[in-house]
Amino acid sequence: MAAVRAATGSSWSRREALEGFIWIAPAFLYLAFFIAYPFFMSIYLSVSSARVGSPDSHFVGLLNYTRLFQDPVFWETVRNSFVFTVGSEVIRLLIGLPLAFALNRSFKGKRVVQGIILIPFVIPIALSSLAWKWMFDSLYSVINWMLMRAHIIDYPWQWLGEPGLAMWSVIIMNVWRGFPFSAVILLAGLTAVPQEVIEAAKIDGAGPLRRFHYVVVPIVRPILLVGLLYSVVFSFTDFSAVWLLTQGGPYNTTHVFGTYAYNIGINAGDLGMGAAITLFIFPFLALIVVLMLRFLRRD
Amino acid sequence: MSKKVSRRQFLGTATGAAAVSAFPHVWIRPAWAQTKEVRVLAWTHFVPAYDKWFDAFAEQWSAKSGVKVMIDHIPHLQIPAKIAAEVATQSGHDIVQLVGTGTEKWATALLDVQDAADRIAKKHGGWTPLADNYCKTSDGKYHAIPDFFIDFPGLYRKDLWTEVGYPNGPDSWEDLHKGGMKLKAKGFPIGIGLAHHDDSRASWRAIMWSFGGSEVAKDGKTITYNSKEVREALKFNKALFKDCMTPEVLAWDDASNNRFLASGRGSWIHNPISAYRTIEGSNKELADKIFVSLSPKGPVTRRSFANCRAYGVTKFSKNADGAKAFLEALADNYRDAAKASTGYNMPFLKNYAKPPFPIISEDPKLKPLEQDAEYHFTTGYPGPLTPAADEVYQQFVMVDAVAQFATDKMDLEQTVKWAEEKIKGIYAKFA
Amino acid sequence: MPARRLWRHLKHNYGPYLPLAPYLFIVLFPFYWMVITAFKRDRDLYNLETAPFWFKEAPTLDHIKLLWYGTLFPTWLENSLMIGALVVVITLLLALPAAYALARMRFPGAQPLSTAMFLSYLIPSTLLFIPLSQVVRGLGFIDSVWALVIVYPSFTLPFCTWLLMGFVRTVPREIEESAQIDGCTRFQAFRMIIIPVIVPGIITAGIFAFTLTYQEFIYALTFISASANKTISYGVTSDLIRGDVFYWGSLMSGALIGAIPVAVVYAFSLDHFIHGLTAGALK
Repeated sequence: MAAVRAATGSSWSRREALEGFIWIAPAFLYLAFFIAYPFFMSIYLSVSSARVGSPDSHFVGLLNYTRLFQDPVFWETVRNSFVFTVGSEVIRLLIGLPLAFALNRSFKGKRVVQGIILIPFVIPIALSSLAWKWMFDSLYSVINWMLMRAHIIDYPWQWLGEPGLAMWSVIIMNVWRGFPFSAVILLAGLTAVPQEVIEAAKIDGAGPLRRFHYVVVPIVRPILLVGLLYSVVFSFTDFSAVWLLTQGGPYNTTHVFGTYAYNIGINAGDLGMGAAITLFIFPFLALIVVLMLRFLRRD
Repeated sequence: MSKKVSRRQFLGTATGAAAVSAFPHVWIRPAWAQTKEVRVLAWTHFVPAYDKWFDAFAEQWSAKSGVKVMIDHIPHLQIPAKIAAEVATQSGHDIVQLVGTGTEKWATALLDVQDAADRIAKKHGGWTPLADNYCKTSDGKYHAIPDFFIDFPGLYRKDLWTEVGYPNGPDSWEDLHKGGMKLKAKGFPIGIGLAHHDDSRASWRAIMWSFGGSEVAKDGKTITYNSKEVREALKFNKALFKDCMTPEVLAWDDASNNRFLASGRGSWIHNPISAYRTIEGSNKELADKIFVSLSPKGPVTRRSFANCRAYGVTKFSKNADGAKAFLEALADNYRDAAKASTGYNMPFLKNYAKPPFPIISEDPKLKPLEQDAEYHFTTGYPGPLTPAADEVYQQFVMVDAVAQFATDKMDLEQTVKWAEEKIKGIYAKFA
Repeated sequence: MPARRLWRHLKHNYGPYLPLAPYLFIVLFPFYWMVITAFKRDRDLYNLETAPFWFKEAPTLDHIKLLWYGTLFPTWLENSLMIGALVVVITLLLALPAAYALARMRFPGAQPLSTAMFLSYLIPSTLLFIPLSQVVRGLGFIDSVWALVIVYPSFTLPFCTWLLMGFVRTVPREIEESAQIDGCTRFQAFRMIIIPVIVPGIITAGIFAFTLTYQEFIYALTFISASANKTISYGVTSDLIRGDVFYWGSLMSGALIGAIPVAVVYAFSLDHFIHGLTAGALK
């Protein structure tokens, strides 16, 4: 085919270089204006003494960063962000996988079930956070009500007040709103596995576990990659979920990058430091992405 | 194939119809640049009746003065982000309401309104010391006009406190502790939030001040946290938490103590009367048992925390004179405003701080509130509300210190050291 | 034996419900509870004694009435839907050509540019919203829904382009090349061959973009003040929480009514969505 193309002197490839730029121009112009420019502004903010409401700010080098390194709350924030993201993701996959398997068969009412399963993903997160806030309420928690009636606990738990438990609570909420997406991704992956391949593996005598490992996983991997990346980025950069539930409390045990940056940058007015905190998302996120890519592209 | 086409067709026509149909407000761009207009950014008042009055007042004043006033109400927690964005873009509202703090932090973005402040002070007997504590910035000028403050008295269940020997509620923090212990044993604990929200940082400061302690000295620069008085306050706080409250307070938000009282379980909370008003509306028999007392006094003095509101005029406003005139008219009509707030708003002007108060003086239950203006102070006390004090407030340092100590996460010395270092770190940014 | 056939019939058609039951419970339980709360009287809601799952006092429509008539909820719903639709259109208009070019054409810098596209997805809105407000103000769009319409593609565009790139790659080159031999311009090939083939991908990308837009909160908070211009997420949380008081009944009904349009969109297109993800990501 390539030889044929070369022979006919493809009218396309000659102008390809220039044409390419024209095609991508609108998208990249948009990105330059609305992402690149503000992004570099933020970098500038992070090395300046900018404060809300103050017109004069000056270059301070890495001062904001050094201050951050000495701030114990910042390191707690780093730790919390990882715990929050990794914890949510792992649980989502654990819950999503059996669900994907269950949905991989056809049965009556499947459409409706699929629709219902998607509800948590579809409700705007600002609103579902409020619903969960009420469900975790210190006094009126419906979860406590049920658990106490079932004699699983004997005093009301402070879902949002006890330090360790609060992190679990935000993870639970994050899992609830995200697992439909994980399940759909996994389902997409499963439907991609051609039945013949499974049959062939069965004939070869592979048990379900080996089938899963050698047949399903390699096919599912790329899809998993897409879905996981999206999901992880969403969790790692989250602001509204944690903010609306706990605002980073109890005493900073649930602060993640988004919420801590907001509290410092906007509420306390230190824009420079707020920008520095959010910029920290990159090295850590890049680390996670690289690890994931390495793990998932291993073939 | 045909099914797909028809679905797409359907979606296509639906979108088209939606786009073409009436979204008139979308096509009209708001005209920010009109000079005969004053736009106000205000919070959604806890008492809805006040906002109704405020909006109506704005309309009447617009008609009289020929300057159109428009008010946008947003929740108080969103105001800082709003103001930050407007300052960054140098465009937005003419008048912004400062909620709690920010008088010095945003001073460079707000006009010097000392002239208006002086005119108002002259007409109404002068500003109270609290107004100075709140609004006077380091250049000695007012960059915002104080409007009202929210007090923190005690709200108590008369029936329950009578049983434990305090028919008029606890008058001192020590009384609160003694009575609270007995009531907790009976199943009616007291509640003061110990989490990241306004009420918490108000109450624990009130206690600290009542014990004679403070985070900073009168000069606004010397850190005084590491002192005997603060240690006494911390020890008391821990005892109060352990003996009289349940751990739920660690998960509270601003509305929680209201709900706590409304559930019938709470015997005492530290809150403005909004809680009482809500219960009046939904549970009359419970409301009849709830009374108001002064915020308790400590071994040294009686102090409580004022959550203040002021209005600043933005430097980018195109109608500064109109804005100032509106604010002066608002100050003139303070009594009506206080009435509309059903006694929630507290005054900053000496004439208004003298009884008789609208609503409050007429209701024997609320009479204790008459003394509020004398002993309420705000962040930074005894010094001014500097940006450093502001940031300590925003970062919940006081509250976190008490929480960590009360839950035994740190011992007394560790707590004092932790808090002092954090405060010093913040103040160093502004040195 | 009819009994055995019945059993087999049941197992075949409804079997999966057994493992699905816990999931349906987890998903539906908060949802059910939200529905109950939306209709419960306040006095009933704040009563520690009553069961949260049913009514002690008669249900009421007051919360919904307050939501629908007492706030600008219908307007917010309109705004959210309209913004969502417009952003989807803009995103697709920008992403399709870019995805095609990056996936198909060879030109200097194609690889680093597509990496840049991916990286821009990682930039969170909490970082950008202050500087972005200066850009928006410069364009004169402050406090109007148009501010959101032009800003939202900043987080839909990277992901949708990336997704569409995967789809474009699934179209065999031979088809395009035979079109080229037939004398088509690249653009004609794009329009008449590529696009129809990747329709599932377009639908998938569109749904994604719509969902992200519908949910967004922080930009709406920053750029909008006037109540008439608010979106659902922002409007409901700002007007139904008055400091101390959360109007839970109305908040829950707002959440539920707000979720309906998106649920409808998904119900119609879930098959495409899944098919799309499969095809797109396999390449």
